Formats: sequence, C-alpha cells, structure tokens
Amino acid sequence: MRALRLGSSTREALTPYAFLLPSFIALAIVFFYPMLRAVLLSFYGNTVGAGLGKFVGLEQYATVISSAYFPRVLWTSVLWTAGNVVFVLGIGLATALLLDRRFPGRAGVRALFILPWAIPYVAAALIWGWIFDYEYGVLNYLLRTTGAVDHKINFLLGCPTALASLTGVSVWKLFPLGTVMFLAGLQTIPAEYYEAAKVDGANPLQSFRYITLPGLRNVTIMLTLLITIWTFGRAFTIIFLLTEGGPAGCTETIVIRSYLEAFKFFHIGTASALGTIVLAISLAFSLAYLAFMHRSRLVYG
Amino acid sequence: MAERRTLKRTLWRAAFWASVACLLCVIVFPFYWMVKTSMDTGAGIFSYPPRFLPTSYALEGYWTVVTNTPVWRWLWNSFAVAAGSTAMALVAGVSGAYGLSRFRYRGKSTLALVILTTQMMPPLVLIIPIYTIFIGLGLSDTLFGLMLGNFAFSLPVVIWMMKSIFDSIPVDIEEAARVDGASWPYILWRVTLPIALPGLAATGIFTFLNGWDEFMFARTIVSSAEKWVGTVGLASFIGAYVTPWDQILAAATIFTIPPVALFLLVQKYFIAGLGAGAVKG
Repeated sequence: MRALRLGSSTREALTPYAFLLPSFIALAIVFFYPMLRAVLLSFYGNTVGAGLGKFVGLEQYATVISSAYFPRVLWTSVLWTAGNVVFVLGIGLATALLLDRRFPGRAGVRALFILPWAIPYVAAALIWGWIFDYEYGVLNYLLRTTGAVDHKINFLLGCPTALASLTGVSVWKLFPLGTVMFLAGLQTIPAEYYEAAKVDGANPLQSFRYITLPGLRNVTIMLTLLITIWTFGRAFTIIFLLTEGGPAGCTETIVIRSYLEAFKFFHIGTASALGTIVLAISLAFSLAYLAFMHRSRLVYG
Repeated sequence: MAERRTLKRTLWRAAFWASVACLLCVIVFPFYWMVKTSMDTGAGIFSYPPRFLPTSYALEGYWTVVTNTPVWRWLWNSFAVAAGSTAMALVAGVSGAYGLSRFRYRGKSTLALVILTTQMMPPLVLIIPIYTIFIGLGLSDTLFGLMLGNFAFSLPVVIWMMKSIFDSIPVDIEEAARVDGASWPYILWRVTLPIALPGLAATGIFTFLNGWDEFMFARTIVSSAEKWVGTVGLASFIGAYVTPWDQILAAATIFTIPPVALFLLVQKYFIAGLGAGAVKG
C-alpha cells in the first residue's frame, strides 16, 4: 500500500498544525471538555454523581443570586482581592525601593525573598495557624510585649479580624513577587533621568513622583491584574485550611463557597453556577490583562 | 558642616540596615518558628511567654511523625503524582510550544491567546466536572486520576513557558539543518531542544513544584488514606483534639525542604514563568 503523499508545499503549510495537534487534543480532553461541562452542569439538576441530570435552565443561578449568602461572598471576595492587591503592591514597591541599590549581601537577601514564594501553601497555612494560635501563639506575645495591643487578639476566630489575618498570610506569600517585579521595573528606568532631574534641582520626592512612578506604570498595571486574577479565582488553600470560610462565613469567598456547595453540601448545580460566575469574572480580568500586555507590546502571539 | 554630613549619612545607613533587618525578620521568622517548634517538646511549645530557642534537641516530633504516620508514603505519592503529571505535560506540551513559537500561519496569535487564557483560569472551575467525570470513569480515588487532574493545569503552563524559551532561541541556528534537508521534528529534537535544555529543566521543575503544592484536587479526588499525597496528609493534622504542633511542623518541615531547595536552583527562571512575558518598561 502506498502512503498518502502530499505535495511539499501542502506539507509545509500543515507542519505547524501537526506540531500543535498533540497539545490541543490533550487540552480538549482534559481542559476544554471539563470546562464546557462545568458550564453545562450549572443548567442541570445534577446531584453528585456521573451524568448531568434534568435540565433546569437558569434556576440554579436564580437560587444562587437570590440566596442570603451571595452578596456576602461576593463582598468578601472583593475585600480579599483588593486587600491582597493593595498590600502586595504597596509592600512590594516599598521593599523594591529599599533594595534597589548596591549593598554587601544583596544577593543573599534577594535569595531569601524566594522563601515565602517557595513554601507549599499547606505548610504556610500550618505555620501561620500556629503563629496565630490564641493560647500559645507567638504573634499575640510579640504584639503585647511591644505594647502594640493591650489584650490578646483572636486572629482566626473573630470578624473581621479573620479576613485580615488570612490576607496577611497571603500577602506574606505573594509580596516577594511584587518586590522582584518592581525591582525589574526600576532597572528599566534610565539613570540619566535622575541625573538630569538632580541638575534641574528636583528633590528626591519630586524625582520619585515624576520619574519613578511613571516609569513603573506598566509593572504596576500588570501586577495589579495578575494578583487580582490569582487571589480572586485561585486562592483556596489558606482560607480553606485556616478558617474554612468561617467564623460566621466572614472569610467565605465565592470560590470557597462554590467548593463547599459542591463537596460539603453536595449541591452540584448551585456550586457550578457559582463556579461559572467565577469563570466569567476571571475571564474578564484575564482578557483585560492580555489586552494590556498586547497594547504595551509585552506579549506577542 | 562635614561632620554633620557624615552624621546624616550614618543615620541613613543605620535606618537602611534596620529596615532590611525588619524585612528579613518578617520573611524568615515563620520559617524559624516552624523549625524551632518542630524540634521542641511539649513543655517548650506550650509555654507562655513562648521560648525562642528549643528546650530540647531530641527531635521527638520527627520520630513520632516518621513512626506513627505514613509520612514517607505521602511524600512518595506526592512525588509520583507531581513527576507523572510533569512528564505528561512536557511530552504533550513541547511540540505545541514549538508550533506556537515558530512558523507563520493563520490563527497563530489566537491560539497563543487561548493557551495564555487557559493558563489563567481558576482550578475551581475544573474540579466539579472532573470529579463527576472521574466517578463515571472509575478514576476517582486513584492517583492516576489525580495525575490527570494536575496534568490539565500543567499543560498550558508548560506550553506557555516553553514557547517563550523557544522564542528566545534564534531561528538562524535551525537554518543550517534546514538547508541540509532535515525534517522539522528532527530539528526540534536534535537542534533546538538540546539548546533549550536548561529552560526545559526549569519548566519541568516549576511544573513539578505546582504539583507538589497542589491541594484542592488532591483533597477532592483522593479519599483513601493510603493514597494521600503530602498536602492532604499535612492537612489531616488539623482538627485533631489536641494539636500536636511539634509533629505537624516536623512533617511540614520535611515537606517544605524539597521545594525550597529546587526553587533556589531555578530562581533565575521563575519570574519568566509567572509574568507570562517579559517585564519591560
């Protein structure tokens, strides 16, 4: 039997698609099909198990949106995401400005910055759970001996303290990323700008306001969107392990609620509706990020 | 005058080093506290005010964890799942990345966009459908199922990281082989991939670490205790009646050492995989 022979020009034209085929087949099976099914599940009345169940249209969405918890989890998600963005960027920028100079031991300091990033989330949650411990936790001791507070704080068992504590853990883990990215951004600002400003008699504050900040604009926008995408849609382990959404639901983000709906209350339909809402919001932020990257020519397809 | 200037400089320097020291404390203290507690015994752990040095160096917590819990089994399972899904993602992803990096064809930027978007989607979106699909396929509560679940999320990451690595390798290197009549797969395998090897290793390590760290899928897909991975095993300590902090943090320390060591090895590459593109002005 003769093998099918294509003309060499056709073969050249098909080559790239042949390279892409294995990846896209695999993605179709393990990613796109499940994702489609996730959206489908939100329109059906599945109870945990295989199969879709009965078609119910928008009923699951109606249930979710009219529920008592929906405005609360949405608001918690907003607070959680905004808190992470503000503090990761703020601390990241401050530390980048601090470390953006030559000093002995700089390489060692920068290597240590990788530590919070490298530690597994579960281990980070356990360490901080112990540090936050009400009875024996070291943080309460440190705060009280330094006189910062006059009575013990119930870090994980009060509202809104719990959300603030969880945000603290998340920021601790993520801010080194902000530092590293801002440092990279600072490197791109030409030193001559500062020299020229100095010649013109600008004080350090003016240099910062009119040279540094505009120079970091792209990094700032990029980081904001990236941290938003991560903390809104991806944050799970820290919250789930330290508070499981409690106390009284005040650390329950929409992601945590969706997970609990599915695997604690076994409401696959409402869980999928929540998941689809998370998907839509994440998609919007991702597209904003990509549009920005594309416009500033940071990404090329 | 000159004296006042040196004084000012000394003060600035002191402030600088004080800030750096504070910063390092915030970063390092939780690690120190983990290791300290893991080595300590009950009396040293549950004392108030807390003791900042261990009261004993007998490593009791480590002994108890190693003898009373299947911690090695968990670590092995973690390793198998992370390594397996990484291997699968590299095999499936490298050719796709090459296809997205080289050649000119219709739809190229759209396809790249799809991959990049996929990489940003929250894992939550897949856990429910994958769970129900796995029940139908008999893959729930299997390590292979968990491997597949991790594979779904590593694949887009691998494609995207390898694409940027291929992008950084000049096409000229391939020209000579092309003129000699070598086929594209041959060029990828014999010319480009060997040059991309450090990047491939970094991508592999990065993907491996994501698998090592993964908790949500592991907790949901696998239920029998002998199939737990490290993250699930560690989490299982929470909620015990009396929390044995020395054992928990001993297990956490053991579980943290491999990723930290690997991260220090590849730190040069890790930003490239995060920002999905270079950080330019």
